[in-house]
Amino acid sequence: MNIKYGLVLLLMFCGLIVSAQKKVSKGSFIVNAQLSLLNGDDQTEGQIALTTGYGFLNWVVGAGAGFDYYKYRTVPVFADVRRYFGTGNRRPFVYGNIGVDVPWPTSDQKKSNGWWGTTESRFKNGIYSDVGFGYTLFSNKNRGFFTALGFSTKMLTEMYNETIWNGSTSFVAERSYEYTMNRFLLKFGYKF
Amino acid sequence: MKNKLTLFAALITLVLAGCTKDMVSEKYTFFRPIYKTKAEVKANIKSAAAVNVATPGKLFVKGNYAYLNEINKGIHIIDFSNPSSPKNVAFITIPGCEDMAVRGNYLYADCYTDLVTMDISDPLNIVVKQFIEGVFPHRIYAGGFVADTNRVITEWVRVDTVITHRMEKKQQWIVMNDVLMSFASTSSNYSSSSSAVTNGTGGSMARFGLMGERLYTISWNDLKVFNTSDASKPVYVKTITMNQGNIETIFPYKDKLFIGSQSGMFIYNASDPDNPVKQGLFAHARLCDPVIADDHYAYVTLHGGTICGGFSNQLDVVDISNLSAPTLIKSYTLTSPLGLSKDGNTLLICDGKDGLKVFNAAIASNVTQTGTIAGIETYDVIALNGIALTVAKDGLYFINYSNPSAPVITGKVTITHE
Repeated sequence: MNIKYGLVLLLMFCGLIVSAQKKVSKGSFIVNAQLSLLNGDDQTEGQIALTTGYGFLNWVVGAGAGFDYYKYRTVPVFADVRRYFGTGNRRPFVYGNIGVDVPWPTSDQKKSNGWWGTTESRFKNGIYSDVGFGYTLFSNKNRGFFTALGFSTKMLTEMYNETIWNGSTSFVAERSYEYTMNRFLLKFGYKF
Repeated sequence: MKNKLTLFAALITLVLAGCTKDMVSEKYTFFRPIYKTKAEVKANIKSAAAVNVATPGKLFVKGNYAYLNEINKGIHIIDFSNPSSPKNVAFITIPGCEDMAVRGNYLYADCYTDLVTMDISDPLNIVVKQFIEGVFPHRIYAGGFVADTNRVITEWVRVDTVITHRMEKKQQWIVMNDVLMSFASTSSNYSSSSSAVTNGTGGSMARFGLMGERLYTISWNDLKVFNTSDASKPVYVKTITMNQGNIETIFPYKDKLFIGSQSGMFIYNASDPDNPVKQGLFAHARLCDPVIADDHYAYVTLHGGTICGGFSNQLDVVDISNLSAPTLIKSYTLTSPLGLSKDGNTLLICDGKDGLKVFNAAIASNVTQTGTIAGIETYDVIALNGIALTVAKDGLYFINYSNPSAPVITGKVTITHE
């Protein structure tokens, strides 16, 4: 739990450092702090994420991480690629993220209640992806607000032990669920 | 043009709505029952060469033979004339069998909802003598499974499956079927009969009990009486509704029936064998409770932490000198007691993972432990003249308790769990 928080905070810290250095020659380091509204299957939740990358010409290539609260709390860690179009401070862009979705379930999300007592689930990482397009409202080339609309998929696997009956006796077997959760994202962020 | 735009917008909406369906691929294992008709089952009840013991159930003893139930599949016949070298000699295939009793050369067993009588004079060539159909209509399978009672389940086939469906809210209830699992029975040392035909020895957790020329069976909430005067052809006499569910065990002793339920021990007077009458009740907290008795006391092990409810694990010694008002003498704390058996002043208790415990029960208010067979997880025991047949997780053990301070294992039939 703390490791996941630490990982995200480390990424944020690194982003701030590289952003502060701004050793721009042909390109520059860029940080995006973004808040997303996730609208999926009968549920709306939020996500916060931070990406950092190197901008070159109209491309930004980097990595990011965040906290995703859609149905199961997870920590997506992903590669981030953006392509800007046009010139000036107001430019459209497209982006794509691909990475790993690390489960970080709450205590309630871990529990399954049996006839008596509870059993605790185990989780495995899944794939995280997010693609979309957006529009910048920059005050200058490297700093300013942006908004984007995307489509994201996160996957994870939950497993727990259950007791099943074979007609004569009972034994413990594993039941697993491979979840695939699809959401539209409406992002608001600040690039610096 | 406007119509095309509207159609396009509608299509896009449908496509996008479909994109946000959360899906789950669920992988699990279950067992599917394979049914046969009753005619097919009857035709296939027969004995054959011994097979490995995999899922043992209740135990019954007559003479030098132990009859060990293979739950829902049949009965193993084990010759223990030499307790140091017991031999698994035969297996009788009886689908749906969980309970049994032996009187003379006849074996009575349930075949799902029926009572079947077999001549076992030659264990390797048993002969089916009679079927009484539908006498156990309320047969309950574990996990709340309700079977088709017009047919008989002969086999359960493992099915590993994957299904994909829309993701719902997290499943919150898991079927813990093991809570309804029944363990094997413990011993009753009563084998009375006024006739030349003798009864075998059943146990405190058995649901079949023999007393004289009657076979008594219990179901969830009733007591059934069968007349076995002609041992080869039991005759159904009557059903006595007990107005009480959760009935678990029956232990006949002299002319009394000690019936264990999850909430207490009932005492029925069977001096009129065809018309047992409720005489007393010893109530206790909701727990599983195998029971045995002697002339003065009933011994009840209470086992908590299961579907029966409760969390106590103890032995209750109950004074039954006044059968109408049984009173608790003393409770003794145990770990996870199940079956028990008594031979003279020696009381043997299966205490789960603590093994088989041997007690001196000469003084009911001061039952003291004298010995232990540790290292085996025990469920059930029948004590017979110095040899305790003990069902444990890994085998049917034969334990010599002639010296109650130093019981020793003399032989074993291994359970394979395959």
